[in-house]
Amino acid sequence: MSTLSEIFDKRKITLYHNESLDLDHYYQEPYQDDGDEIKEMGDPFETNKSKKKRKIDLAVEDRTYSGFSFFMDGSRRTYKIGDMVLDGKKIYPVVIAQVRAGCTERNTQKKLHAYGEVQRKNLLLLSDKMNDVDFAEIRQRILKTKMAQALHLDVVTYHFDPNKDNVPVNAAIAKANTMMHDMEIDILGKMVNSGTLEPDRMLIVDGPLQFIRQDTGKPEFADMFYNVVGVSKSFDPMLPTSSKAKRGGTQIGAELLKLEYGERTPVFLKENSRHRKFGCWYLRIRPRSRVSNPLEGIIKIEKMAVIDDEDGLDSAVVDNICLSILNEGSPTCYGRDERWASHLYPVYLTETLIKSSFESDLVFINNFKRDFK
Amino acid sequence: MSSRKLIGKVSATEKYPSSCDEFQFWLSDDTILSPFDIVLVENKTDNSITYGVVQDIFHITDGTGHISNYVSSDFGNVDTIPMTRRLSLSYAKVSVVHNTKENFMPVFEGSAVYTANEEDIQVALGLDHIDEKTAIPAGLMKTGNNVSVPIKYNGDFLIGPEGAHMNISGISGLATKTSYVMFLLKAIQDKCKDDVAIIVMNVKGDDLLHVHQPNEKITEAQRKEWDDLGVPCAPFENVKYLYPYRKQKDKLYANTALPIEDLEEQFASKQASNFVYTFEHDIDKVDMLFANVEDPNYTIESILN
Repeated sequence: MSTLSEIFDKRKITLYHNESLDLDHYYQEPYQDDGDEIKEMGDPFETNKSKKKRKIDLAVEDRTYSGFSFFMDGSRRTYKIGDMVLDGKKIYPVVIAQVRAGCTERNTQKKLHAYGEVQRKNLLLLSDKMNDVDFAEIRQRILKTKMAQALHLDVVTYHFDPNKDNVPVNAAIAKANTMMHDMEIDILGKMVNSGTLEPDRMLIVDGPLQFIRQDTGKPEFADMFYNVVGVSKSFDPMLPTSSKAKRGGTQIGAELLKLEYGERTPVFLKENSRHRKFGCWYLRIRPRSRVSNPLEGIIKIEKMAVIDDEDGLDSAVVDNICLSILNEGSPTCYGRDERWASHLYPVYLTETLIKSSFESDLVFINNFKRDFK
Repeated sequence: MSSRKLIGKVSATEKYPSSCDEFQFWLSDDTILSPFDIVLVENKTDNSITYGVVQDIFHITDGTGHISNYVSSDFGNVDTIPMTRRLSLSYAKVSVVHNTKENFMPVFEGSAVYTANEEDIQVALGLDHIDEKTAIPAGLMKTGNNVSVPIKYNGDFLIGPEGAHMNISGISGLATKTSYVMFLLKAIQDKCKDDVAIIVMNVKGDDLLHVHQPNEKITEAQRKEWDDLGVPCAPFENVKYLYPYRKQKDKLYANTALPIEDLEEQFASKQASNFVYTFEHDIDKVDMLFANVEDPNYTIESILN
């Protein structure tokens, strides 16, 4: 019977177990829009070209309506269980992860249910600096074990780029995130193919629509996101609103301080590395007098631009989305989650559902310290 | 016979574990349950059934406090309509009363909980072993799932020879204690006929001075309940009223609040008599008048005896 170390030993790679480190508590969670950049533009990326903030008049609007029926979230837990030494010279962390993604649906009685099953993956992440043959053999040995089968384990590599990742564990975490996004895209793809999503039964994805790796670059990819909106609870307040910010221009946080309850910024244009266009804007969903700091209670919303949105998103659609989100303000998770001011309740419940599917940290980690039969 | 209905699942938590004496279960959203309903859990370990009586029913949400709910209603706006139903559930606390195989291990988390049908209620309350020869109807037990089960007393313990007492307590003025006693006396009279004599000390004006007459106000539904219990919905038989003497001829010498017309009718049909204590007849019972008076120095004792 082999332990993990012995499996590595067969390929002359030394694996040192250490006191397992829960990476999620060790490293500070970055902003949800980490890496975003607003493209400089003359006019807002929407049909209403006014550069002023817009107000949703809640006194006259229908407060019982929400265009959202589906809520998607993904979550992962990562742990460092040891380090492996390659060729006697270089040392890389060995990371394990539990990755989950799922979707909920709100029925006509306003009750949330799981939509399909929560997708699960358990991963063992190794540096891609390993020799391909070594990796293939170690992977095969591990996957053949009963332990790996019981855990539905997969063994994957992560790529550490010193220019991009501070430390190798960040690269492993990023890989886990990518696999989580893959699972979210899978769920979304199935929903789109089955015709589940509609303009009055839209999907909110928790976080930005950062599906770069999965982006095929083709117009059809954007069609999947026609009835999808990304909502970020946290965002970088120092994000420049234009390249002028580098020379002392306005950062978004300063603009957001002017927003009152029910007001939104104009739509900004964002492009990813595949030149995919997104409209993103900020909306205050809690009165300023009711939150502890002036940037609390503001969320960042983004929507992928489809072919028809070449000149910008339809402002009426943007306002409609804002109204729906404002109407999602009740109830709240106040008292349960300190991010309550920006955390929409159905998204909170979806997150709770997904997180309830995690195995306990202790049990999961100790699986890798026991004998791999 | 009504069937069992699956209504929830046992919930055993760190803070509220199942025990030999009680357990808790969450209810499905459409369940209507009442305190004192009987529920059952099938134990897979030995195929026994654990029966319990619902003690209380609670409703909880994920709101951490009143402030949380206040904030969730747009900071105190009474017109706010929430877009999503708050995570909430109702759960019931149950006392274990019986297990079919004398297995009192706590019920397992996640076990299915069912409502009890008529047969289940009989088993849960031990009524399946009652001797019909001595059983006396006690009333109808009605559960939240519209099951109605006749409940019976073991007559040996109600009117003897094994025991002979009953205590009925409740809030005064609701006309339930006396009504129940009268029903029970009728059931006893119907069951035991002349083997039992019933003596009622009346302290209630003329309410109990018509027990020989039918109730004109009884409804069909109430009549059916009597039929379900197997007790005839009829007045008492062989009734006699004994009134204390009053020196008033126009009241027929009867010290009672009963109207004179009714009194005349009772005397005419020989259902009523007056009673009086005379010196010659009752002098040797005088000490009973002072029975509840403390007499530490035997003063009255020495006079009377």
